[in-house]
Amino acid sequence: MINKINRFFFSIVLLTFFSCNKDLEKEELSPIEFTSIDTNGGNWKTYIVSSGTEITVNAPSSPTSTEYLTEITQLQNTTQNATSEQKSKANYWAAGGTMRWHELTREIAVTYNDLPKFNPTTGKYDAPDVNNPSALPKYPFANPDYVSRVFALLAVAQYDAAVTVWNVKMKYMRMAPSTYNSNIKTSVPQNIALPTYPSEDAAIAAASREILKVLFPNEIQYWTKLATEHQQSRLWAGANMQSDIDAGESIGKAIAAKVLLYAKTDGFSGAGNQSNVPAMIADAQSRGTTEIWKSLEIPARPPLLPNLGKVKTWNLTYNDMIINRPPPPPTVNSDEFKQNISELKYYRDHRTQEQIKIANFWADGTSTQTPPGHWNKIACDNVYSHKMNELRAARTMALVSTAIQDAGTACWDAKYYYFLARPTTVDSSITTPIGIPNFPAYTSGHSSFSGAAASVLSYIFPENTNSFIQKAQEAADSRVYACIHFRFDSEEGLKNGKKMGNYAINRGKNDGSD
Amino acid sequence: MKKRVFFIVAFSILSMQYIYSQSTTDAYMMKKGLFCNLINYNYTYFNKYWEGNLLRNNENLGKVESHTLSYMFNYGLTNKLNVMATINYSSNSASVAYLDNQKGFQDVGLFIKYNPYTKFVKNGFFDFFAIVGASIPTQKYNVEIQPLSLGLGSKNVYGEAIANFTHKTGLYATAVCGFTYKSDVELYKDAIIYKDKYYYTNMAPVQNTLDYSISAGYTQDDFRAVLKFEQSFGLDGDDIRYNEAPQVTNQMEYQKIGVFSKYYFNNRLAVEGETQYTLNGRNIGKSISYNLGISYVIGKF
Repeated sequence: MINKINRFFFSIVLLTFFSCNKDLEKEELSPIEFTSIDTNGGNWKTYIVSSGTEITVNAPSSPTSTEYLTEITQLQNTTQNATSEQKSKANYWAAGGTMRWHELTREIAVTYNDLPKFNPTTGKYDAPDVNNPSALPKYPFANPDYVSRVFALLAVAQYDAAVTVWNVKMKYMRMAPSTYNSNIKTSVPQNIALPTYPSEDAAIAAASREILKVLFPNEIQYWTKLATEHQQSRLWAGANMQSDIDAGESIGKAIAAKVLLYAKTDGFSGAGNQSNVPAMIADAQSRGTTEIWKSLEIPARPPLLPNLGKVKTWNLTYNDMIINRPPPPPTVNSDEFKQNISELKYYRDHRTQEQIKIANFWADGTSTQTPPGHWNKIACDNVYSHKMNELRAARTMALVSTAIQDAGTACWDAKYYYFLARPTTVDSSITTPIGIPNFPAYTSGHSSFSGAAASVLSYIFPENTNSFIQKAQEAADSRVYACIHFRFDSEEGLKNGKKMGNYAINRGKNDGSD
Repeated sequence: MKKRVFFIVAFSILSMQYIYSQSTTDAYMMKKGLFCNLINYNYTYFNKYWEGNLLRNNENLGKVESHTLSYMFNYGLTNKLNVMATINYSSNSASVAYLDNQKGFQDVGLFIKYNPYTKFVKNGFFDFFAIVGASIPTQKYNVEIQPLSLGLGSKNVYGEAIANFTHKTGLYATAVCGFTYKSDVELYKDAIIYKDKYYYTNMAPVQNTLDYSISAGYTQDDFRAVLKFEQSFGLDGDDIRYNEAPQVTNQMEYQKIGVFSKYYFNNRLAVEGETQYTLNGRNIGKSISYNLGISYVIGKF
């Protein structure tokens, strides 16, 4: 009998050991070979630099020169001695450098999406401090607007760098090392019709690193390590020469410096200014808003980025944004408004399992990738499945990301122009399954971001239009099911987001790529 | 003579145990053919909780309250083998947050309790028990609205060993050690944050737990009172993120102290009460709870 008991205890101990750690695995993506090489890519319209010729690099050494022969012998050594870990790193990056950098950015941004705490000592909510970024709350607070700007700046730098790289590639036409030396065995898929000087991977790595160092300063070492690894991986794979990497690095770095200059003056640093909020409220009241937004937090938290609407837009002018500003929301005593309240009360009392699912799926609140991140992931998935070359990938990410940021800017403009309360403020019996965001309701940010993203993605990947439109509609509906938005918030947000997306599409149609 | 008195006392205590058995964590069995029903009401609340190891309050949550009505039965298949089942209905709310109250049926559990060994020694007797069981959610409740969710949503498998010593005076001590395996839980998400990393999956790992308790009490014909200390550890998992809501992947730990007593009106009807206080914890509310139960035995003695 004692034996039986022993056995029982023993099996508990065993079971405990075997099921102690619960770790998760990252999804793996195999390397891809680009379907097209876009030979005219060097002429495509750039965002920040005047054209693909603004940043210049030296002419590469000729494949017959001594310099080249020495370099290629070194490459042969590097490639032959590459460890299996290095080869697998090369495969990792060969799934798409642009896509990988967006993915890595999303992953880091999530860990910075923490709502600052109230500090009883100062009587204020703590603010992340750019000069002391590691102190709690960590800098930056990666809210949806911050993140949308990160993706836009990142993608624009990647895109301008890729255009410049393509320009140089087609100018010198120095092909892949394996073309000139059959001893070079390339371990990743490579479209050998595309010249490899300069390396687009190196340029994208350098541009991304420089942008992200500024936007997530706590992670400087991490970005630097990643960029080095990305660049080196091309040597381990035998896909690029060191001189390809060096030229790419210098282009990426120079482009990023210009993009960062733009970022300094885009108005984002003033977006959090709270001093004109009382005037904004007075203006909104004079425009007919009777239910003014109030923070539902205790103590009241200042609203998120009240001056975001003044941030420079990418694909349209400030005037374009104002012309397209959503119409005033229905007044509180109107039938439409009353119908909206009844609809929310219906969801409060009869929310179905499916509606809870949709509300949670698109909640994208703190500690998540946020709605811009959610769409960034969808865009990346499409870039990958369409095997886009780095230039086309960067163009896609730039068009989508700038449209998303523009839609956010326009949405925040409307939010503070009308300053409309959340449903729960109008009727405190309206409870929610997810947290209520701390800024005015009209229009819905989710809907705006989603409308813009879905329209741009439909332009680039027309065969998936239905899926994008359905997702955007679901994201917009999710906020109504959750009772944190009125239906008109979502409808007008979606509509305006699509309009902002159209400006990006117009740009895309005229950038020389079609 | 002394020895005979002891055995009489011992047997009378043992027979009491067979009748009044009611829980998966005590050293009592239900006699063959008897069917014990327990209806229990529990009220638990907390105003503060541990965010990781940091005890904090949250003015935007307020007081978190939970009312639970549960039904449990324990049937004696034999004197040595009991089968038990539980089901709970809960209603959870927060006094300040505008979050939907969560109410509904929680998990249903089925347990088998086995008493393989009893040994009489000079001043009392030792008793050993083994319990295995499983529980599953009765419905797909929303697990993403922590801390108001009805539960963690996982399917659990449970194993436990109990050792008990009862002194001839009626003083007794019980030690319990249990392990719970918890399945991963499907979330309505396409990605989760876990241990400060982001994963594109909708399956959230829920931590297996190891728990133990020690209790000391006194029992006589119609009365039982116990002082109990229990501790539970999540074997892996992460902490609640800075200023964030809890989530199912959190590593939960607690130390609780409680007092339990039961009074038997006769061999069928009894009432019981319990109060528990959380001394220390991690990623869990600093809760106080009260239980009130009534049990009734059906069957032929």
